[in-house]
Amino acid sequence: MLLNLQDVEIAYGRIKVLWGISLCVGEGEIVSLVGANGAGKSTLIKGIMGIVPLRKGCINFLGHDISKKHPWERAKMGIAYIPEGGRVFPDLTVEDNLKLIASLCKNELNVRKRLDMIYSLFPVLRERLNQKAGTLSGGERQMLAIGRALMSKPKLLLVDEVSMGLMPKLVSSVFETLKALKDSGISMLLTEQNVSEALAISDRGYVLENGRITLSGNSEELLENEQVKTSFLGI
Amino acid sequence: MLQILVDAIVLGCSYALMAVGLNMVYGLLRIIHVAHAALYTLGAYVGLYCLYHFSSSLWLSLIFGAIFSALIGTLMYRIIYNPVLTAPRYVPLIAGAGVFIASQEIFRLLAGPYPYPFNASFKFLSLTHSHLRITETQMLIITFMIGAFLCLYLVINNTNLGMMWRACTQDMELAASSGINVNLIIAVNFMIGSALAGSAGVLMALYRNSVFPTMGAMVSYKAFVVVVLGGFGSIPGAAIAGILLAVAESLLGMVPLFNLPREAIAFLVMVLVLMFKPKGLFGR
Amino acid sequence: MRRFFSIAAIAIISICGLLSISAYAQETVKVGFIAPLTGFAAADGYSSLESAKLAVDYVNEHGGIKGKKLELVSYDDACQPDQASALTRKLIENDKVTVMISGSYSSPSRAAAVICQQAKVPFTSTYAVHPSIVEAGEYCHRIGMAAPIQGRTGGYFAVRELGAKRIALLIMNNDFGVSLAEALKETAIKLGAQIVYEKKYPLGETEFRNYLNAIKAADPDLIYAPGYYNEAANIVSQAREVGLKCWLMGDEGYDSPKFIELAGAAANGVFITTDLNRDSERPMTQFFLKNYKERTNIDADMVGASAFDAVMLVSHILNKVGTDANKIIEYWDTIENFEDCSTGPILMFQNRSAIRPMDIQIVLNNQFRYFYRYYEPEVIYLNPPSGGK
Repeated sequence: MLLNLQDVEIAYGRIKVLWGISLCVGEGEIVSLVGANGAGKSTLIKGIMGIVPLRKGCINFLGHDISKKHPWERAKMGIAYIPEGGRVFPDLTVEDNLKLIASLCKNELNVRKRLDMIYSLFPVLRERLNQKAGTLSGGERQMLAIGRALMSKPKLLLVDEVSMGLMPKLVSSVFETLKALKDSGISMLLTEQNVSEALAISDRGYVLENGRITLSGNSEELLENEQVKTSFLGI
Repeated sequence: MLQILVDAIVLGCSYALMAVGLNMVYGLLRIIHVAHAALYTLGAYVGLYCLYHFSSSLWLSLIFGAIFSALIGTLMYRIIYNPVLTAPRYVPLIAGAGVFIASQEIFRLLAGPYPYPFNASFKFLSLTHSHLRITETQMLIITFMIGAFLCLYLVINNTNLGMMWRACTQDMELAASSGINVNLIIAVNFMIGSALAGSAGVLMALYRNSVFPTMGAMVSYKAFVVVVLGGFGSIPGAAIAGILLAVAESLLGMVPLFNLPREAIAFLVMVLVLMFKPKGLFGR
Repeated sequence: MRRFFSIAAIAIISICGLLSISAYAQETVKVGFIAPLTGFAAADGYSSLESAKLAVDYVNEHGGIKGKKLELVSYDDACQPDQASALTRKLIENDKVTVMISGSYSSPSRAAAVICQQAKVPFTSTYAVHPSIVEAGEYCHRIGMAAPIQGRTGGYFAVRELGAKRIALLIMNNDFGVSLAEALKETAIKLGAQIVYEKKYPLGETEFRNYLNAIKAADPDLIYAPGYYNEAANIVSQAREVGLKCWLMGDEGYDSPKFIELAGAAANGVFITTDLNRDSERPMTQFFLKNYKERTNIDADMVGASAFDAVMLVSHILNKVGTDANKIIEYWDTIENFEDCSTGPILMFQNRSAIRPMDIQIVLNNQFRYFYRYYEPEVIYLNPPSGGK
């Protein structure tokens, strides 16, 4: 297993948000985390990244317990995070946003090649190289956010609500990109409110409700599940 | 007139050196580092100690003052601010104020309540003309300030460290998850800010020829005014606002019927700026 | 039987208690003392407390108060009026002091004076100058020089002796500076001089170049800058730096060796009005200067001298009339030519403020030296006799 969570509990101060979460992501897998707004999906992603501390439980990544590690240490081990809403550094240029990551792991990869790969994936970014990231449109920012995550050549991508606030046309192209990334061997854990699209590209899925996992299984099974149908797909 | 400007600029340099440290901390952690002025006094005392015990060279006390303040400043962050970062914002503010007040009494207990003269020997440029006179100390302060800001500017804009620092000021969470060692950046931030405060302490001790426990009090709120004027978190803003404030104080102080003390002017200017530009002159 | 024992035990305990209380009370006469030992005025607080202790030791070595030991009970008021009043209450109610001495600045002293007046405990301020301190009532006195006298002395010296026609005022913005400046201004104008510049600066100010440049433009014969030595050292050295060549005059607040240390060579030629004459051959002055230095390893200043004198005067009164408050204040007003003090001598008390010959000192060769002394009633009395002016 690439990522393995056991009995994870997260709280903000005294308010518990997540209870007894256990899940896993295998090599080369896309796993979806679906649930309504406020179910705790983003919190779980932040917990895995290390931005939010765990109250209880442990996180295994590549066989190491990382639950006590700082976020930057986790990043260096190969976890990358695409935050919600295309969060990038608004006052850095597009190029600096990307190079920032590269500068952190300069020995391990060829920066130029990596940049070319990202520009070929998102040609728009090449045109905006010296523009401040804050001036980009929402879709461009989302691309930049994905590009940033790819700069470090991660083993696991944590994708938080990648479709949120994007035009439908863009949403499907973003999902296509994610699928292409999967084919190149990157594993992913994605949270999504857009349940049908998410399950369509993923291998397995977990349903999160009020801070607990209530259902899990293969994507096809979940898409057929009555509960999922009624609560998320509106069927 | 020119003379008044030069004198004011020297004073402004001291405001600016202090305000930059405050602004660096605010930019990164969004806390108002009240205890910053304690490091100014600390720098002066360490410099004094070097002067009395090691050598009469100013350079040595400047270096030691800066290093010591940097160390203590970083420690201050680890011990005082780090544990309360997630608490409401007034908690670090009050903690800082407590540390600042306590520091004055600690200096008093260690070195006594009396002011000490600061007689350092050094050679530097000076200028004496019939209309304009810039003493060696004034020249040194101006040069130091320009040098420090130039270095800071270059580091922030042209190095990886600077880029990481900028990233951290914009989005700390994202920076951490991008693989930036945020703790290290914060520590470096405190180190640089505190070193500037410490060296400002040494320079002003030299300029005023005195070191005493409460010397930081006046500086602490002047620096605060400068931060508000220049815009919270803006480093060039702090530099320019520091000098502008000192010039404004000096010029307004010259107006015959304008019988307000310097402090009143500082806060008056602050209120005016807040009324018309709530984010400060250079705030974003 | 058991009951008898318990009653006896209680009786014995209470008798012992009473005895110990009365025995304790018999041992010492308590004098309350407040001074700023922390905060911005800590240096003056230290001087005054150490000097007061020096005086207490002297008194006790010379027989104490009618055979009892004199005991100083001191607290730190941090130069805050609210703390001063709370501590004064504590000294009166808990420590049961006979007399209160304030070794603090004007505003805490004022606060303490009011409490002492209410409690009918004799009170004296030391170096605090503000006129209103003694106005709290008949229990409140002043050992130091009242601001009106000191400012007036400065005015006479500036105009009559130095011949200054144009005077610039650079005033520390607190009770001390303002009340001195007002007194000097009134006298100087009365004597025919002109005020060409007047500006207040806040306590703790370090940068005076802009004031001084403006003063230079006003071209005065003399600058009077009432304040404390920390600020004064900056004023004096910056005045010389901007090229002011006129007379500089200060007050007793300058009277500390620290002033000369901080101002360096620029201190030379500065006049001050003070009451500590280091050149005096009076034995008590020399005793104080020598023993203070031995005790603290620091040279004595005016603040200390004033506190020393307060204890000396209070113990003189206590030896004379005992500890009854009314007798103390009755006798206080009749004191004449009190010589057992480091300053002065104290000629008398007028409106409960000490009257003494007024000294002008000058800094020469980095030392305070005696320069001029006023005996004339029109200068040194609180209410000059010639009222018809």
